Amino acid sequence: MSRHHRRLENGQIAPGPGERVITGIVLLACVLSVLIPFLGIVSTSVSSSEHINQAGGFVLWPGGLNLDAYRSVLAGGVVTRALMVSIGVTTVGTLLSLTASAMMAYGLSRPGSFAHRPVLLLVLFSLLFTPGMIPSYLTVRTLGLLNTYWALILPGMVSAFNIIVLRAFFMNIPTELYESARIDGASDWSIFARIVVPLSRPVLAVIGLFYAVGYWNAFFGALIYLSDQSMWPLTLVMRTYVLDNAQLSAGDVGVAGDALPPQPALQMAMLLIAIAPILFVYPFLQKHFTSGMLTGAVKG
Amino acid sequence: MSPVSRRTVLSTGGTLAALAAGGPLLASCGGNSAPGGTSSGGAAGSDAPVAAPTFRAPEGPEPDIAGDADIPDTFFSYPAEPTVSVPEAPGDGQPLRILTQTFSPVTAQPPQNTAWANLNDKLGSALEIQQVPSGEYATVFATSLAGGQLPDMFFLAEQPDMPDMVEATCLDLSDHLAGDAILAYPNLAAIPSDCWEAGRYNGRLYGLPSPRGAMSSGVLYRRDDLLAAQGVAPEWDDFEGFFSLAQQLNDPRGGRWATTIVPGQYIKNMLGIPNFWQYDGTTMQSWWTAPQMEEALEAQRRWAEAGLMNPDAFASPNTKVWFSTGAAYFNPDSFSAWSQYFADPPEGFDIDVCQIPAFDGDGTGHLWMSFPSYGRAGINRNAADRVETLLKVANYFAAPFGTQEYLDVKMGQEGADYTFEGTDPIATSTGAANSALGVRYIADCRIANYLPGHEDSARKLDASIRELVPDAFRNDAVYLYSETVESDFASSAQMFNALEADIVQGRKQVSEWRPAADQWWADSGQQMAEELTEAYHAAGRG
Repeated sequence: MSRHHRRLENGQIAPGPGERVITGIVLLACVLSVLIPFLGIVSTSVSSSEHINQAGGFVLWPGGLNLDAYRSVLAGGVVTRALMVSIGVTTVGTLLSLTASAMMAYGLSRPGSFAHRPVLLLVLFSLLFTPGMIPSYLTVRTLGLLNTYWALILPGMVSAFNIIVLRAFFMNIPTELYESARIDGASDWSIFARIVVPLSRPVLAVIGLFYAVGYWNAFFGALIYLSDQSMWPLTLVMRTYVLDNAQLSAGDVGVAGDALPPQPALQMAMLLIAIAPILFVYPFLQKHFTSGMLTGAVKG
Repeated sequence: MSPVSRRTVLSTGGTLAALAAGGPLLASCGGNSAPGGTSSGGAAGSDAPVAAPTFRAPEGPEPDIAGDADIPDTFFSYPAEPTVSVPEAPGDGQPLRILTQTFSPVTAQPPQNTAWANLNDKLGSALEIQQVPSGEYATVFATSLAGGQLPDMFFLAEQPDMPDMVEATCLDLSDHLAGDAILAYPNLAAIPSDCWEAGRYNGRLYGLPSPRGAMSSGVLYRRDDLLAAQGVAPEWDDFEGFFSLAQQLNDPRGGRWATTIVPGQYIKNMLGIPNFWQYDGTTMQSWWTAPQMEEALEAQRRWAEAGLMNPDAFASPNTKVWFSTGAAYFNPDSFSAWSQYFADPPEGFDIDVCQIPAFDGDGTGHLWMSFPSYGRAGINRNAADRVETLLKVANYFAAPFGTQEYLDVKMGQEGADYTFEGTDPIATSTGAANSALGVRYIADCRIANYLPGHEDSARKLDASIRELVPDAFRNDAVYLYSETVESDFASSAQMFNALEADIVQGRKQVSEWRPAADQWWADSGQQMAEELTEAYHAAGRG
């Protein structure tokens, strides 16, 4: 062992100063590669038109601070309403998805449950195919879900992949716990609610986050199922600002208007509004997320 | 068992048509159709073509500079007393459902959206507009078609088997629009006759056009203010002169490049390459097989190799922003983008359109004239009992510049969405967004050259159009129908676009172009040319 290295309490060898410096530099580079674009998004969204023009469209350090882009984006209530729709669909959808997935995974994790193998095969079979756009649309239409929020939730409510992950977790819960609960007279509902769910909080947090991010980011279902654009979620509204490079000035019809915030500022303001809720939620789930991701990764 | 015809299948909601569309539905968008220019109905069909709608110039204010069939009228200010072109509300009191595309952020709904609410009042029918981002329009149209959910009026996205699809889905408007019948709708009659060909299928009139013409033609813009600051005159006699000037101006360290992207179309214009299909007196010729293509590709490859364009040009081009913010001296865009650049111009902002000398300096190049109409809109077959009302509403949407209806459709409600500066309507901070309802893709008037407060600039634009348009090349196959084009064009275009990108970016050799073009000609190109030639003759064009 080099004289620069020392042994930690857990027996591992502590890195030397050189390794720590290199590690620090690498980590710093990783952090900066995330922070700098993020700083650019924030700075551009609050900078003046002149400053953005001088910087060539993307500002790293703000100038001419103002909130005009946010005022403009939030004016008219389209974005505010879309934000509420996204929050509502994400909350309800995640709860329903988590409930349905956990219950199905529990059933599939218990040997001897009714039609256990055929249902499991059906679940696995669904991983091989994705439904086409038009068959999906026709199904949603037939179910009378067009122009309802259920069209954003029900078609993708249960993910086969998540069920497999949950089932694997439930199967690792010691059998003795189930048996002792049975001896105490617990039904399957009680075992599920009082033993399985409390013991599965880490994996439920991870799967919940997967579902939540999926619902939050989804836009395609809304695009084809919702003709009433007042029902559109934030991601679809944001898409019209950012990806289509839309011009709020309506200049293509030869219209003159009051000076509006520059397009890059509007786009960055929309981006920030769209990612802010997930950014706020993530720290509260991080603890569970880490332990949940490691679940089953290491066999003791 | 009775035989099931294709028309029968299509008319049951169009499901199979949309299913058969598959991938190309996602790739195509109504707009100006494919560059092949043949995706619309055309004159080839078993029925004798009905007469084109009669053109009658609008009875409106006199322009400051009068245009003609190709050149838009120029107005320095909005008329002090707008004329009324639709004296009575055209609606029937029932809701009117519209599916259209938009290039703008989604708008608020009425009553928050005062422009929309105002239009509802003026029409006498509440508009229920589904605005779909343009990039996704073909997808939404296909699913709506498949599900039998198309509304009363809709912008027609490009589909396979367009003539049959249109016939099965849209109302035949020939009896209402052909010949003098259109005079019952004076604003629609003010749309130039050639635009109506966009909506002609199997000889009948199914579509309402949105006139564009010269204004949508692609040109090369230049920043005169930045060039003047560098003491550089924007003049060159040939490609080498342009290339040298670009090298002189290019300043990557200073964050300013000569061009936003490689000016491929401008180079092709300099070389006189056909505007996709060109009738040479005997048959159609394609740009892909044009002998000048290798020279165009080599010039583009040199441009890219010299790094004369923004480094993000291929990955994520944001050309309007780069050009507006001064990150480039030159930018390819359309004539109609001129007014966008003046929506919020930086101090001293000055632009113009570059002239097109011949590539080798011998003569002039040739602009590519855009399609007369930006696609077409249809009226649902199921709305036959309301056809006159729907056409009256379309007539309202097509109100020409200088009318009160133009202000209602394009600007919104006075006070809330726009205010007057002198006689010019100026959008409020919310007005521009409110009025971007997408109804201009259902029916529209001719675009006027109008830049309130920028008379000099309007004159400049007019002068540029007058200089470039007379020598412009038209796509001779515009609005002609060919089965082979419909089935094979998209994949051919994909292949050639990829090959061109590979060559320009140095991944493939220029010498690989000719074998690919020859192979395409043998496989399907010649068949396309023959079918288009036949349609060209059948339409009485040659």
